[in-house]
Amino acid sequence: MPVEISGEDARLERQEFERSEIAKILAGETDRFEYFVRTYQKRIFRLAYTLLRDPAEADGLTQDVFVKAYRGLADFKGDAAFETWATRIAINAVRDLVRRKKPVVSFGDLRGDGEEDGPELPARFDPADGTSPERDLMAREIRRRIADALVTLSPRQRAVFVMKHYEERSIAEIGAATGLDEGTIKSHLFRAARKLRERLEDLR
Amino acid sequence: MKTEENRHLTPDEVVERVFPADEKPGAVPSHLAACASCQAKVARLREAWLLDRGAVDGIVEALPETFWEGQRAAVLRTIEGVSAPERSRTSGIRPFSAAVRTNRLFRHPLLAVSSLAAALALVAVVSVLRFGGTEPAGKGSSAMATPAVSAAPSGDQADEELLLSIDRILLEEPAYTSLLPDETT
Repeated sequence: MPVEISGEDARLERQEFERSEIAKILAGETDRFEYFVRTYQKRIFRLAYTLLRDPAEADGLTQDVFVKAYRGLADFKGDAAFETWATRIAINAVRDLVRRKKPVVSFGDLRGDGEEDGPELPARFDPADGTSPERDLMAREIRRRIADALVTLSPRQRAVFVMKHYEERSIAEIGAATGLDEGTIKSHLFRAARKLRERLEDLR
Repeated sequence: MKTEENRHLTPDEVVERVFPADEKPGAVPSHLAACASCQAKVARLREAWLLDRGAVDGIVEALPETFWEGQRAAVLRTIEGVSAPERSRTSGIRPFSAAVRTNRLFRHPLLAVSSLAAALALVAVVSVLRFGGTEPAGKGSSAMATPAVSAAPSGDQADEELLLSIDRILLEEPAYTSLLPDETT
């Protein structure tokens, strides 16, 4: 199909362009790295924010990802897209951060308890949209429990779940970013869904 | 008798409808098409998830351009710092940061004053040796090898006065006496 071919062509073209940009950076034109930051900062931040739910932490982590990517640029083989590589760095960074903070911070803590969805959530994005008080309350509760269920997942399971259901990435893309095979990814997704079900059971 | 058609979806099946592990969700159970209760359960979960996802999207999209600019600037600043040692090695300059040296030097007044005194003393000694070495006839390059202090009385006197004044300052300030050799205290 022409659309798919053109999409694939565009992807390859971009990959080729980025490969040449990286070669120039390694040759000393370091200013060219700004292109990568500008192009991917929002996507990396979004992933970090979805996993951490803290804007400041997500910001710091995003910066770290690009600095690490820059430092390791010579090791970047160019087999995968830069975005995939940066995503992998981000996932590892989130995993390290979550492990370090595990006893202290949870999604539940970050999102707030009880009726609060968390202080960082702007009012216009609040699920309580006024359609019906009972429905709003239920939506808030389910949302909170989804967040609680996510925190019970291992960092890797959480990353896989978020990439699949929040970022709509394909299994192949998740595999490229995490280094996991399809079976393991599906297993993570299945376990994540099961934990979600356990958390939501009494609401049904 | 319960058949597939009149059996309600299990909690796992409800979750699987919203969060399928496969790329594409499985076939819709025939019961779901007819059961309002099961449809409501699936819809409620899907709605909560979409709200959460939308909230994340909304927060990211609502961030102003200045936020992204600031983030970019911070990354590029850090990167500059990362590559700076490489550049300095090739140009062979600035092995240490001037700012660090300055901060360390002036952090303690005692150290600053004593450093000043030592510097003045060093200048005086070098001056004594230099003036002493240039006065006599012969090879000018032998300044350091010629201990002719007495050959330049006027210069020596000035230097001697300078050294004495430094000693006086050190002696008058009790805080600095520990810096002086034992025989002068």
